[in-house]
Amino acid sequence: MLRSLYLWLIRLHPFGFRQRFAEEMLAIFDEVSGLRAVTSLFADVFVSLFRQWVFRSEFRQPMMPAPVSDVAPIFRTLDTYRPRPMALLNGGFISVAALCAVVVAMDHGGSRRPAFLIGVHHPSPHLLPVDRSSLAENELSTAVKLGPEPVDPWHAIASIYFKMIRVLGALDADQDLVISRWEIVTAPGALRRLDTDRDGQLNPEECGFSLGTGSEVVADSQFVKRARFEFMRANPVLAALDTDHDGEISETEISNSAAALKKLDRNGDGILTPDEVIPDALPVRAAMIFSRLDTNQDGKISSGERASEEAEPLRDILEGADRNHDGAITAEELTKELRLREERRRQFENALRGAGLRRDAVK
Amino acid sequence: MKDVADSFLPLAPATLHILLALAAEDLHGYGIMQEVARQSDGRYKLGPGTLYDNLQRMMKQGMVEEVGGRAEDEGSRRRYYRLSSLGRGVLSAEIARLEGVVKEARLHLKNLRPRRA
Repeated sequence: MLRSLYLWLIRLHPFGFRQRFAEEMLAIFDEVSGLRAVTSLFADVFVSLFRQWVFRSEFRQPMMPAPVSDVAPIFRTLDTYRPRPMALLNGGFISVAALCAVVVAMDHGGSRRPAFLIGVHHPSPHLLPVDRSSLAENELSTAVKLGPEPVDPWHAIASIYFKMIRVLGALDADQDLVISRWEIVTAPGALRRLDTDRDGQLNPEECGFSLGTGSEVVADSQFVKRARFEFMRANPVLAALDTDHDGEISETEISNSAAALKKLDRNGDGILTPDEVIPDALPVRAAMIFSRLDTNQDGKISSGERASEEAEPLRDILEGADRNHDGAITAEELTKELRLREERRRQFENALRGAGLRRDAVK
Repeated sequence: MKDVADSFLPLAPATLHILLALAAEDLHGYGIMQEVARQSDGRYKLGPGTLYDNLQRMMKQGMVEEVGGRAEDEGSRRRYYRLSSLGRGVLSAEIARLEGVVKEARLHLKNLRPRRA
């Protein structure tokens, strides 16, 4: 049995080697006796097998047919190479043996390296079911960290603005800073929940207006009145809901709020994104100036109102805003002037940046 | 001839032992294995695979050649091997090299003093 196995292993050697030395190797096997000697012969023949196939390619010469005659021409047919069945059998055996050796080495390896497990702690019904019965109950050892999400410039502003304007907070039921189709449709119900005094309509305070307490401006009833009015006018959502511009959102306006909100949808995608509900800064600033200087509330800052002490710091802006030189400044004129100055400032700063200077470095 | 022999140096242990085994007389494969074990007091044993791998190479290099079987081994599978003149030259060159190594080693060991514990 052992002799047959040894002979079989000898026959797995390359043709040239086994043709030359097979009989001698088998003769040596027949000479030795004892389990230890036979074991060493088997170890030797395995090493020899590996050595001959891997390192001794120079001794593997192709078998050339001998010339039949010296005078007759030699014809050779270059057929497509096909390995012999025995060679295929030998190759298959070596492959299986190598695979088995690798599997055994992996199963009986001395060191146990920690497995890298990537997954989730809490399975979700949206995930594909995985049969974990064959896995050991190990803690997840590898954390996958995602990079920072791209910064949305509107998000920080919107999160503050939606809290400040209570109407927006009420409309944005899922607090994703977007007024969805469903939230627009259900706007009347959301607005009615803000009616804390149960008078059927929403005043500026119920919409989010606040001046604080204890300050001097609160004592000025006229200023408070103008500020409340400008608050309702400056914020696009409130201005859209207050269709009659009386400074309050009536019961009828609440009922029609869904249709009013849809008018703010400039891109027609059916939802209101922050850029559609947050006011442009310049009209707000203009409205604030108007709330302080337009004391008679005629919608214009007259030459008399421009001469007040409160208007002194803004004299340069107000003079520039009166472009038709009629002595009165409208909200549009003031907004246009502020926008022009803002554009000039931006160009100036860009020029400074291009020259490698900072604004505070220029005297 | 000497330059050709030197080109094979230094010899691998298996090659040196096979050349040494064949230096005294022609031997068959199993005889070479036994002679190598005898020369090394059993510390170095050649397996048939290693032996015939080296013989294959040494025959190609011309250090060893096959000789006809003996009369007493008529009908036997044994083949006998002998050193060629090149093999003898290579063995002589290797022995001379090893003598130089031993001489150098003795010179250095002589100058070494035992360390005190």
